[in-house]
This record gives sequence, structure tokens and C-alpha cells, in this order.
Amino acid sequence: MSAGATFLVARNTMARHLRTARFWLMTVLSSVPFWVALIAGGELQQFFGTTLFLSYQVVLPLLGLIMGVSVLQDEIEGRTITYLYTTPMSRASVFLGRLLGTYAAFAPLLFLSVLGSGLVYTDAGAELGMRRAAQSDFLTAHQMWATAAFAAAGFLVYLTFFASLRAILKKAFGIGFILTFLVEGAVSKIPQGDIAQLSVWRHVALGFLKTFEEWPSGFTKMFPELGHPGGGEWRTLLVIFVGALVVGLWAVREREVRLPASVA
Amino acid sequence: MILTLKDVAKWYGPVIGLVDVSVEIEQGVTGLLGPNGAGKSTFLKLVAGQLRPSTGEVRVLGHDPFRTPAVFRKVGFSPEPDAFYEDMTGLGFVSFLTRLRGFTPSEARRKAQEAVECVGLTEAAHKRIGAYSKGMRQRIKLAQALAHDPEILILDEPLTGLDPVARRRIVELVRELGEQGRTILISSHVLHEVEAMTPRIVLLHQGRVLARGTIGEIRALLDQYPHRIVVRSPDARELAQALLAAPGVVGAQLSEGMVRIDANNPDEVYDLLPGLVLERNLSVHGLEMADASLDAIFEYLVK
Repeated sequence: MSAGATFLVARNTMARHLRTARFWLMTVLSSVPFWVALIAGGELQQFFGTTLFLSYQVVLPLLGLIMGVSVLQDEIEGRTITYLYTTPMSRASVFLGRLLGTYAAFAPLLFLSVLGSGLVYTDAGAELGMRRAAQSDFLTAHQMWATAAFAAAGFLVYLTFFASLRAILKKAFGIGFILTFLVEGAVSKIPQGDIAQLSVWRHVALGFLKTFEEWPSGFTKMFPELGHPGGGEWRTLLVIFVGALVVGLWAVREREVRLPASVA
Repeated sequence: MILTLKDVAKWYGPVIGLVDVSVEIEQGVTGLLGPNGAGKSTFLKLVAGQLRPSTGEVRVLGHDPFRTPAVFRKVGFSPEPDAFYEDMTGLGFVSFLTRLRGFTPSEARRKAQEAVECVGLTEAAHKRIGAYSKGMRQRIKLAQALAHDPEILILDEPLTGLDPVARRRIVELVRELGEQGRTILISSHVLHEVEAMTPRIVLLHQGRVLARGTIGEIRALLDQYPHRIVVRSPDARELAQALLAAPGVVGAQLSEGMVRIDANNPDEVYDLLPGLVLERNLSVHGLEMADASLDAIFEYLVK
């Protein structure tokens, strides 16, 4: 019964996301790397690196942050969480349903955008008249799919991380936004040292770069701080994902929800 | 006992929600009364598992409602906030929540239809909730609480915003459900609304239980206040004179066609009155207890 109810909540969440203005705003945000690749690619020397930077380091954490926080926030702000929390579903099932529904609504946007961006750099893209990058930035079809798959995986990790952060903290958006700068280095450089190990995007990027025998020149010039893949990127992403999920599930189970102006 | 709170306190940081509340709620309708800020919503949210007590223990059918969601198979909750999935139809909203309670799609739809009919919203069932009036929104909230046929109903200010016809319908519905043996806990700050549904009340004030029992029982506790009896009579002056001489009558006030008697023991006045009327050949057109209403009792208690 709980799995069925989780699926119902997920379906309801997805359907409702698709009807919001925010969905279209996120569509625009997530498609930025694709449009940049398509329109400005020929003009940029470090074309491939720029596109991946936009996809992985800006769009991914921002989309993950905005939608991750909304997993619980929408229901709390709308005060509809009371209805869900007075059914026989566990709070964990409600959280999982909301998380899955949000992922199902937004991950395809990111996947398609990154896939489209990658297509620009492949032979298939060239045949379609889209090749504008330097020769060294070309991708194989396998690498194009890997780009999109890593983006989708990274989005799940970010989404779970920020959803869990909201389960613990009321001001999750502000704190999450600061984190995207400090840890993720969004719109800046990745921090060095141990803190870089916490960066989701770094692991996503390194995992992706492993698909190359030699790193694309545009990318290495742009991100010298990434270093070389040391292995275990998927494992680290999985650990962050599972850790965030466990904390989120614990928080929704243990912590009561205070609706706006709930003191009576 | 169906619902119990034992030594329950709830703080919101430095703000007191409830203090030292121990109450047992039994079958039938119980009204939860108090002015705004008395702690009614906190009380109901604790019982509905939305909040955890800071201290003490809340039990619904023997379970902690915060920790045991399964108890909501038998509990329906109509919250006070005017909040919905605005893009859903009324029927869709009730069906969705009924499915979450473990019913198959066809069962959920049938139960939702019955509940929507029960609250008089059949015609608007397929309209978007966003287009509903305040009264319709209140009724759809009630419908989702009723749809899965719960043993216990927790209703937070369910009559707010209803027009008189809908109000009467809901009052009758609550009374009927109570007579069927369900346990209904209903909050309101409008005293006569609750009075129309049940004589059994819990009075809250500043987070504390001020009194509980039937209206009559609570009134009887207020011995320091004489009971006020209004006698409507064209012979009010003569009647007042005669009653003032009776033991236990501590005052009388005359006005056009009536006399208000203050008596320590109203039963003595009731026993005395027929004899007086016959003996002196007086007319009496009406007799009522003026301060057995909840308004009067509440006023006394919070003084």
C-alpha cells in the first residue's frame, strides 16, 4: 500500500509541476547550455568546456537547489502537507513520492538539454551542420550519452541533497545557495583540498571525463583545478546520495512541520 | 478511551500553545471551545499527529498519532487553513486523498462521490477547487475527512465561511454522525455553533483547560454566580414581588413584560412557580434559563 501511495504522490507531484510557470522557467534555464552551444559555439575557443561548465556547474546545482528545496517547501507553503500527513502513508513515503515526482518532471529537461549540447560536438551533429567547435573538442556518441547520463545522475544527487536540507532547515534555500558557491563553486572555481571532495559537480565531471582517453583541450584549460580522475566517482556520488536520503528520511520522520502562522 | 491527552504541554519556542492538559474524549460529539489563541488548533494538531507534544502523551485509539500513520485509516481530519490543490476538481481532490488511504481507484471514486454528496456539493464536484466559494471549500475539506468512513473525525473550525443553509446542513450532519457512534472533536470560537451540535464541551483559555463536561454540569459548578431565570408574564411586577420572598432568590429585575430572577438554586424556583401562579391567578407566557448558554458560561469562566 505504501509503494502504491508513494507512486500516487509522485504522479500527482509531477502532474502539478508540469502545470506551473516555474516548469517553463526551468525549461528555459536548463536549455541555456544547448542554446549557447548551438548559437555561440563557433565563436568560442573553449567551446566544449564552456558548455559543460554551464551544464554541470551552473544549471545542475541551481536546478537541483530550486527544485530540491521545493520538494517539501511547496506543500508546506501551500499548507497542503497536512492532507498528506493525515493519511496512513508514512512521512518517508510522502517525501520519497515528492522527490520522485519532482525528479521525473525535471530530469528529462536537463537530460535533453545536455544531450542536445553534446550532439553539437559529434559527427552526427556535424552532419546536421552543427559542428562549429575546434577539432579537439569532438565527442563520440558514447561520450555524448555519458554527458547526459552524468547530468541526470548529478541532478538526482543535488535534488536529494537540497530536499533533505529543507527537511532539516527552514532557510534551506539561502544556505543551499551559499553552498553552491562555497562547495560547488558555481559561477566560480572549485575550492581545492578536502572540501572539493564534497563537490557533487566535481565528481560528475570527473566521472564523465573518464570516458576520454585524453581530456579535451578546451576543458583542461578551463578547469585545471579539477586534477585527474582518481577513481571512485560513482561510489562517492552514491555515498552523497544515500547519505542525503537517509538524513532527509530521518528528518521528515522526526521533525514536525510548522505551517506558516501555525501558532494558535 | 478513544482520544487521550495526558499532562500535555506544547511550546512554540517561548510561546505557550498548551499547558498541562489532561483530557479524555469519548464517543459522540465533543466541542472544543475557546477564543482565538486559546490553543484549540494546537490541541487538534496534536491529536491529528501534526505536532508532537513538548511534554506529556497523546494517544489516539491507543497509538501515538505522530509516530503511527496507520491510525489515520480510522481518523479523518479537516484542517483549519484554507489550503487545497487549486487545480484539482473537488471530486478529484477527495478521490486522490481517499486513494492514499488505501482504497482502489474505483472504491476511492465511489467513496469520494458519496462524501461529496453528503456535504451537498454534487453539482460542483467536477469544478476546479480554485473556482469554489469559501463555503464550498469548507465543505470539500469536510468531504475529504469523511470519505474513508472514519471512526474519529477531527474538525477544526468547520463552519467558518458557510452560508446559513450549508451551516445548518453541516450541523445536522455532525449530529447524525455523532449519533451513529463516531467520535467527533470539533473546534469553534462561535459558542452557539457548538451548542447546536453537542452539549459536551472542553473549554480552553490561554492554553489551559478551563472546564469540561456538559454545559449543564459546567454551569452547576459555577455556584458563586446565581442562576438567572427569565419569566415572561403580563403580571411581572406581582410575580417578582412574590418570588423575592422565596428562599434562595437573591434578586429580581423588572422590564417590559418580563422579570429576571437571580436564584442560588433554580430548581426551588421551578418548584415554587406553579403554586404561586395558581394561588394568585397570574399568567405566565414563557420561562427560560438565561445564563445556561455557552456564552454566559464562558463569560463567567474567563472572568
